[in-house]
Amino acid sequence: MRYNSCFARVGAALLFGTLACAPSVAAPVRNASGIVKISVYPQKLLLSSKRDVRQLIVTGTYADGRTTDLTHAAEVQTSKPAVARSIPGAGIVAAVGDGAASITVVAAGKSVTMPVMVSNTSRPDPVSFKFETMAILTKQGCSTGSCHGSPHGKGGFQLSLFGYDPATDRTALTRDGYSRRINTLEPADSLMIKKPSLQLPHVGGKRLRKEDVGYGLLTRWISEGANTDLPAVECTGIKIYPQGEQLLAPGHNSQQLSVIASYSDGTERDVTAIAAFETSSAASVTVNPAGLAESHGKGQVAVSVRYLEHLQSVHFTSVEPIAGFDAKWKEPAIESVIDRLVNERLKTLTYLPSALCTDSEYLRRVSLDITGLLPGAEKARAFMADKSPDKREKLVDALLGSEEYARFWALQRADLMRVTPARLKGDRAKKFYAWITDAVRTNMGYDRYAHEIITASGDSDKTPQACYFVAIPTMEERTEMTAELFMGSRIECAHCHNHPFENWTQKDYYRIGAVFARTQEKNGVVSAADSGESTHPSTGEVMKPYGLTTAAHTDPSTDRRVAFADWLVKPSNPYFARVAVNRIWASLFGRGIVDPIDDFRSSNPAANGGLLAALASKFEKTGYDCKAMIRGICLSNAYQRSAAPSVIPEGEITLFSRASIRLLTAEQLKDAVAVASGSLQAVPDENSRDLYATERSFPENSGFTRAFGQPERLTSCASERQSGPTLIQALEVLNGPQFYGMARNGAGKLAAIGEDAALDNIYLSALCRYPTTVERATARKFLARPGDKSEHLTDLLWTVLNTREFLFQH
Amino acid sequence: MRFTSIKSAACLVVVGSLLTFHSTARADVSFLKDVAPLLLKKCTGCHGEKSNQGGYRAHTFQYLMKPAASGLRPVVPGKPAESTLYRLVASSISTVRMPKYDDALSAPQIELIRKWIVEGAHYDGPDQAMLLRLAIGPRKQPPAPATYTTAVPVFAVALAPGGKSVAVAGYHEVLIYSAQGVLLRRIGGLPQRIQSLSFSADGATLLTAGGSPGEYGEADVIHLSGAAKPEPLGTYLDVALTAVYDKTEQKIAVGSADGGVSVYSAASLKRQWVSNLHSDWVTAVSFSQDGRFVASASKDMTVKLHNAQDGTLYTTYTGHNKQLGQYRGQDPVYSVRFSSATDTAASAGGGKWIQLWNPEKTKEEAGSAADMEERFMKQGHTKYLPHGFTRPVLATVLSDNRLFAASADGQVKEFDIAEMKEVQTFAGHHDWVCTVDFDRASGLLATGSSDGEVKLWESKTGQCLHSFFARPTGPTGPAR
Repeated sequence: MRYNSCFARVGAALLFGTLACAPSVAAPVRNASGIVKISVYPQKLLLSSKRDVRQLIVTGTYADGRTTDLTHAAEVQTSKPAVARSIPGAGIVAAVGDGAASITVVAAGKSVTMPVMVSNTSRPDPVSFKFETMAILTKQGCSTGSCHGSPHGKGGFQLSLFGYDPATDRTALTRDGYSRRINTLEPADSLMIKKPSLQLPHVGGKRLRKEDVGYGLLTRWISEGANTDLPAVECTGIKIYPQGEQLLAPGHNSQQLSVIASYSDGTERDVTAIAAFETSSAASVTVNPAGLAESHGKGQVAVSVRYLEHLQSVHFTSVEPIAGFDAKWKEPAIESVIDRLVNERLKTLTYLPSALCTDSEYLRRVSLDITGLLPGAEKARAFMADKSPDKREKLVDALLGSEEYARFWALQRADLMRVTPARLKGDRAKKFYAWITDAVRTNMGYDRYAHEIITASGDSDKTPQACYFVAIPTMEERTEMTAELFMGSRIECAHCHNHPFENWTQKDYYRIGAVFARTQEKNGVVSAADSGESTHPSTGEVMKPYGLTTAAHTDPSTDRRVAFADWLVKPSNPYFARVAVNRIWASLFGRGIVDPIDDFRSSNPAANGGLLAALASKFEKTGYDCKAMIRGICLSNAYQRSAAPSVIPEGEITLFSRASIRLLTAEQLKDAVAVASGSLQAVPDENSRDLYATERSFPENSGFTRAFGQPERLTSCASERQSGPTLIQALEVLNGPQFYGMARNGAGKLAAIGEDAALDNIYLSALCRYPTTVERATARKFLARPGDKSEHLTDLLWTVLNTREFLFQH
Repeated sequence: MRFTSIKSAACLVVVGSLLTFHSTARADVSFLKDVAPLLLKKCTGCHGEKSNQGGYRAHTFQYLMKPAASGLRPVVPGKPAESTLYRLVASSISTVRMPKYDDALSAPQIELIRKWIVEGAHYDGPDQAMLLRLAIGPRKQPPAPATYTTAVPVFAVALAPGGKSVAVAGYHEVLIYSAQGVLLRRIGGLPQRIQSLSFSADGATLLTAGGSPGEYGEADVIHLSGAAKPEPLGTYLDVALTAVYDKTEQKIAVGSADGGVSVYSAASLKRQWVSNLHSDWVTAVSFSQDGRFVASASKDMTVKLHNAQDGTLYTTYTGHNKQLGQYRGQDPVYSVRFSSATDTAASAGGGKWIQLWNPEKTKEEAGSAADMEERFMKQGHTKYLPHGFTRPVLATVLSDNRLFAASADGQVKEFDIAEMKEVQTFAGHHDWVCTVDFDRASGLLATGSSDGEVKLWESKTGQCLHSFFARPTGPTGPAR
């Protein structure tokens, strides 16, 4: 016991010594003068062990209500140094001896006093392997996927990814390799200290410094005998303060964070010093190991806080005022809640929105977005001539009422559900697509749509929605696809280990698996069996189905999928409505509010969280009405903006200050070439529908559509559709039979209608506008050359089809 | 608290400068004593055996002096300002300064390099092509701590012939306990951890192997009469894990975690050969009874048989790395022993079996690449004795047909390798059992585990006679 207490004291000195050094960053610039009030979190302090500490958060409030972080500027005084002490400049209170005292925080000339109770300081307080050592290995970066947390470790030393498996890691640390990594008599001489601190060569570089909290804790843990007991107590969660989105602005350009962990035995512990902090963009906001976030440039950033398997993010918006911005900011006309929220964000982050787009731009954009097709010359002419003020509303309504809308949006849904004969035998792919099209056409509530798919039973030949389960026969595929489609989450990682960047654990994965464990499929017939379980691969525990809350849902005689689907589509489900509206938004803007659209996680912040929440709530209130949602978005000012960036400062595409410019999708482009050249009419009829790529039941898989990224529908991942430019695309456009053949085909018909009309026709059908004076003059000169007129027209049409204005959606 | 830490920091600075003053005040800076340790600590991780960043290596003196990719001379004797090595470590430009991924060298360290160059950059070692890590020779070892603040893992035990005492691996020392568990003697001056202990047949000499993980290995011969001052046999790039005599005690073989096997003359302590054929740690070595072969077991899943005379490879036993067949598995080998009764070798490690095989038959079966298909189909002559442990076998000892195996699952078992059966289990350890030794004369068995416990057993009955933790509380042995 003697050795124990002796080392405890040394360890404590080390730990506190390091804490004292930790916030030695440059003190943030702040103006203490205008502060009218200070407040301190927490309001009272309970320190319940010898090494217990508590990070205070001191907040100053200005007269105008704005706040600033004064944690590191505050002076923290203790009434009884024998009970509690403060670490200067860090805003940390540490236990000294049992008893009660008061802590006075003085900042900006104001003070706040609060009680502190300290207990259990005479009991030994050894470093906990499970709750401290494991956290440090994550904090120092040892157990990341590129280092010792990789599936085969590094340099013969393997840890579990972010420490999800302490039982294996304790062997690796303290037993494997003849216990070579620890030296309990001279802890600082341990290999696990000497390597990361570069006292011995370490491929991973310098990961540990004497002044790090982790150095003190690891050496202390080793000196205490490297105890690796794994108590039954679990960490149940972490609480971060401050909560909610944080605005960093001049006068408040830094924010200290506090992280409190709760445990299943009812205790709490301040883990700020041992939690790992990571920023999504160091150019905007950095965060130091002590949890102090500092602004360096404007942007929206998620700082993720990891403690053991718990991960949470704090979202920071860092703003930089621009001289004269307010004068330039013209309050844009607000059509809807969408515009109010988009504009608010733009103004906060000082970006000017672009002007509204022209009628022809709008017609082309909204037609491609809603029907996948160009409107054709006739419609373009009529729309531009129409003088009625509500012509855009009328246009959107007409488009949403068309069969093309039903088919094009069904195509997008079908892309994600493997609607392909490669997966669905016989006529099933066609029938499933028809069912989806019907759901879009009749505007079936998205909740009912999802519910019908997830709970589908019966012969998939007669109940086409059951094809969902026929196309994905395994429990794993069903788990992953359902989570991706309706919960916006990529949980594949959790198949083998806890998700590295999100709170998805292996348990969650197998709990979603449990929902589908009794769903069987035989010869295309889907049914619910009355047995079948999903078990956790490492513990063997039988998993409870995910999302089930009420007793009725656990009745073994009911289909588990029904209970899950009920939970999923209920208003206020954290995923369902958000994921659905984000998909709709992404279809219309070329980019999700959360992007990528199937990567919802707190460390991937939404570009505009308020907007997403408002849209989701509206979606729920309207009974998951997709048409109404599309209509609302298409008629917002945000959607109607020009693609041209505003002058100063350059518009920020991710905040929706202007329309995005994107290559037409494979199907859109194929049809656009055909329509613009006159090979297909602008509005399909029932006989010609199958000739349109945007109208087909399943991918045609031609060389052309593959070149432009048409997915084969073999995964549920939205990124299966390739949008990047390739060399093959350039060749198709320049030399491909699709472009040239169609152009020659179209030129023949155009030759008959006269030069001016032909020119108008080409420009209206391809670009939804008349040629400009210069364009017209140039074209005339070109056509006037000697030679075959129809060849010249072919060349002209081909040239227009090769312009970026044609190839891109804008 | 803050005062305390500032004070101790100040102390460190004072001590540091005293040390520096001491070394730089000498007439000459010694390359091996002063410069080489600094290079090894700060440079050779990136510029060394395994990595030559910038086309430069500094792990031997020869390489140290050779220009890097830049063509600039690293060391120009007498002229520090023209020596790139000095200019880079002394640079104040952070993007240029070396070490690139670590803090800068301290002013006294930089001064040391400058002075060595000014004095002519002389080499005071044996061979300019020798690895600096070996050229600097055996380390001066600190005294063992008087008392251990925690128990340390017992990686090695050895029963003195007759079983009157047992030698136990300590920290920078060997602890000699009586058969009743009373600490009799502490033999210091040894490396940090001791991985292997082995007595000569007369009990007068003790072989030790050990080192500091990841950086240093050393094997020693200790004559127990008198002062018992360890005589270094050799040093290695990583911990020496095993050292044994041959039957006639004319040779000593050492295996180390740098993958090497070295054989020395027991009389002169001169090295006769070294073999570096293993791709991972050499965990155990053993001489065949007739003295013809040295078998070396390795984490690389093989056992290699060397000709004891010259170290050439006789054959490789690959039974622990089989992709096909009933006895497949890819497992590290932690132990190899030869039976005193037959020509049989017994090897064990990960996997479910102790494998019994014969060197000549292994060579016959090794064949050539041409008959590989055929060989895959054949079972081979190996006998597989299932051990029933739930974790790997870490150590074995073999006496006639009696084989004792210690396992990471906390158990020790006796097997009869002639009858191919398990005889008895010695249960009682609470942690990984790392080592086992058997004394034929007394019938005593000694075992040691990761939690620092040593147990002495009566092998006939399986009864545990004494248990104790090898954690001294008494006066320390002398420093070397």
